[in-house]
Amino acid sequence: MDPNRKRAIRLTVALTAALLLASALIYVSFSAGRDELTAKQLLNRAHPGGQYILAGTVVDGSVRYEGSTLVFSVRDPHSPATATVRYTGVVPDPFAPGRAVMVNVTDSSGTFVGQQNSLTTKCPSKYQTAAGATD
Amino acid sequence: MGRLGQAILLLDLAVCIYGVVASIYGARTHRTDWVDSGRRAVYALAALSVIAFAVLEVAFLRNDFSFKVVADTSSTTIPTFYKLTAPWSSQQGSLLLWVTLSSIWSSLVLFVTRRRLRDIAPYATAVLLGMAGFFAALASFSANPFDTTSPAMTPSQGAGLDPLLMHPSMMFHPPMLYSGYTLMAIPFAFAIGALISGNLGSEWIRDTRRFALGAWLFLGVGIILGARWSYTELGWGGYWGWDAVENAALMPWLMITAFIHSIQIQEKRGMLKVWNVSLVLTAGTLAIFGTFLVRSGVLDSIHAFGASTLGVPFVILLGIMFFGSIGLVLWRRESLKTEHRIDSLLSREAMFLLQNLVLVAMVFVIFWITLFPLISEAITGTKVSVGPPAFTPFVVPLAIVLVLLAGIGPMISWRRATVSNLRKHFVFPVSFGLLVTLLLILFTDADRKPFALVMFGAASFLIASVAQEMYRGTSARRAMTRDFWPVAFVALIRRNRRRYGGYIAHLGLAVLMIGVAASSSFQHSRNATLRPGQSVSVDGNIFHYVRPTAVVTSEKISFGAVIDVTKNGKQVALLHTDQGFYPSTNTAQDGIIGRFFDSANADSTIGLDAGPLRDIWTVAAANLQPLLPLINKGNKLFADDYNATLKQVLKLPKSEQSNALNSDLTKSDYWVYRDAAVQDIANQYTKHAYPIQFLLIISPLVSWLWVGAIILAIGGLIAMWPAPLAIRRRSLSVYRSRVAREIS
Repeated sequence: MDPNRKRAIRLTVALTAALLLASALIYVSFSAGRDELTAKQLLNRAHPGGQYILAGTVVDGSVRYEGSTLVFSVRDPHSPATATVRYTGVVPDPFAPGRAVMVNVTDSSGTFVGQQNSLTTKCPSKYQTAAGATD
Repeated sequence: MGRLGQAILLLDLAVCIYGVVASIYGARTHRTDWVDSGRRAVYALAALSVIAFAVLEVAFLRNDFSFKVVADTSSTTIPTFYKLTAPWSSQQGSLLLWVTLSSIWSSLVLFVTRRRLRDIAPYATAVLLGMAGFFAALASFSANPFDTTSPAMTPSQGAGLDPLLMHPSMMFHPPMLYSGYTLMAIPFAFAIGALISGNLGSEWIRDTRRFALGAWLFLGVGIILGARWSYTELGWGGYWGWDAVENAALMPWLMITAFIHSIQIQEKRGMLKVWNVSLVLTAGTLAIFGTFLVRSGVLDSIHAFGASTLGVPFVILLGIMFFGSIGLVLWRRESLKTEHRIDSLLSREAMFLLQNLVLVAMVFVIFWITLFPLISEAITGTKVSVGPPAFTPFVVPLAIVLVLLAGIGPMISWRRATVSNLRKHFVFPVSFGLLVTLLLILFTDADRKPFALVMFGAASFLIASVAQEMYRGTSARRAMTRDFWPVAFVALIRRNRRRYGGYIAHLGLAVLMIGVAASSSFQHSRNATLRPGQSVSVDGNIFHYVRPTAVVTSEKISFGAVIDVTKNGKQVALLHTDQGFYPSTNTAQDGIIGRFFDSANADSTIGLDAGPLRDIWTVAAANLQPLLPLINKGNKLFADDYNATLKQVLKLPKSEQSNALNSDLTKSDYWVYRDAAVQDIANQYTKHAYPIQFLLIISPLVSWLWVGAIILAIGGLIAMWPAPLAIRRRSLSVYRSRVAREIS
């Protein structure tokens, strides 16, 4: 076969493969993604059975246990809105009031139930002052 | 001391500016004295930065809380070992570490190449100094590690280092990552130099190859140490979470992996010049992009790098690197063309190229999914997270292809493989891979996870191919020298370190991938709330909660659990896991007693029984709720006593109040009673059968991951290590004759 034609075929195959990969990636990203919401957005948009990712800061004084269920409120960084979450599962070591968290929640008739083991907490250790530091 | 540090940082910046100007002026005017002066500026930068870093370390060791960074990230109570590591837990200190490492590596490469690459090196020097100057400027004006407070405002105690960072991995993980990132700048800078000077042969690649390998090695070790830290410290049972910051390190590592493979094609056949330059420029840019992700806070990540003011400067730097690289490649596109073409798809160069494409595809997938929240927000106005499950359908098949190519590439012939070549090299590894797959299907339940099964088969093929190459090489060596097998084997590796180091790295990759596939596909985990005496079963293993523990030390209070693990009636492990509570410094909020039980200052010590076939991993969340009434009562009682003493002291002159308060409290044994109260409350924990929440995990072959990583690193180290002088001379003459042929 003519080498130029051969190269053209190879290039077409490679570009088609790249295009397919990119299309699949875009499709999966939009279809499998979950809205990452602030507390205010969650309160406005949530509907029963809906699954969301809640991101925000744990409200001081809101953390308590009811049996083995961890109950805490998450604050919106830009508004006074807070959403209360009932969560069971692994609580990361850095979890504490005042720290930023992300948790997958399901709207269960007005109560936000955290998906087990989905709670992640930003590590406060790097590049910022330790929480609660005082003189 | 603070002023000295600040002065050195400013001097650093001045040296960088001078060095950039001198190098470019020297290169444009062909004045070697200016070029040499530019290079010496790098040496000076290294010396100054080391002194500056030493000043900071001394401040940490001396508990000099007049340094803001020391007050924020250290205290008198943390062990000396961790005081030494505390500088890079802060933004300020880590920027200084970056400048220091960058200047040391830059000095090394410029010293090694001082008599070569005369047209490229000055531009590379300017790029390296420009990047170091960028970080020195950030450290000087945005996040200065030498900022101090006035003596009146200096605290007597620091806020302490986050307990999560008090882990041996954290001593080495950040310097390893930073070394990787800063070493990545070296091939980047020389590529820029080659593009500007127009000297686009293979010489710059040969001279910076070891630094690229160094970047690969250090970044890889840093990534693995981070994974180990995550597995043993973060209390979630995993080693990789596809977190934005993890991905930020993985992307340049994958890119530099592609580069260190594809440069072989340029060296052997003078091909892929555009590709190699593009790879190394992308790797360098991704290294800075990773740093930007870590420090800007633009993406939510389990690592917190709180929003900072560093985002904009990084975006500007990235813009310059990205558009500058594209511009230079386009400018030199004619010179980068090659006359050689790939002769056949069944050739080593085609396999290397395919491997490169797979690695680049992986980088693209990771880049897209990591940044998707930002992309979706820009398009739809809402952040959409796809999370870890989105990576699997793309990265896993690509990883399988990569493992297969790692086996095929070194065995297939250059230019064009013949049927006899394929038969000679592939019959044994393919048969072995298929046999292992068949045995796994017949005797295990591996077939319920098809991707894992295929990965086991691919990894077995790779192991067999490496073993075959090693065996054949050693046999050939023995035939010549009649040495014993081990002697011949060592001599074989010594004489061709690059090749056999690569094979060993491939072997490590196979072992690592088996560990990843097994531990991620066949893990069993369970959350359980147990009281002492209760049991729960996980994958046929019975976890029996024997008793709670409480240990009070001056450093922390640890509440834990002893767990007996049995299988088929036989004990397989006796584990202890605990959660350590470090005293907070916020007495006003937490209370005089409550500050010792602050969950915001806690870290977990996992119970781990690691074995060659499986890990038993446990963690317990201490349940302090039943102790809260006692803690609150203690807070009130001791606050009353404290306030009563304070009331008396306030009658004294202001200058005497502080000393008098301490003296009165000490005289009345206030602190002794407080410590006794804390001890009593902690003891209550063991006297009652409070329920505790456990996470219990059985993970197969996790150890293979760590062992694979060690083998991978050893392979990289062997490939990097300079060959004996005689061999080096011989290869150099072969190389020179090849270059001469290319030129003619």
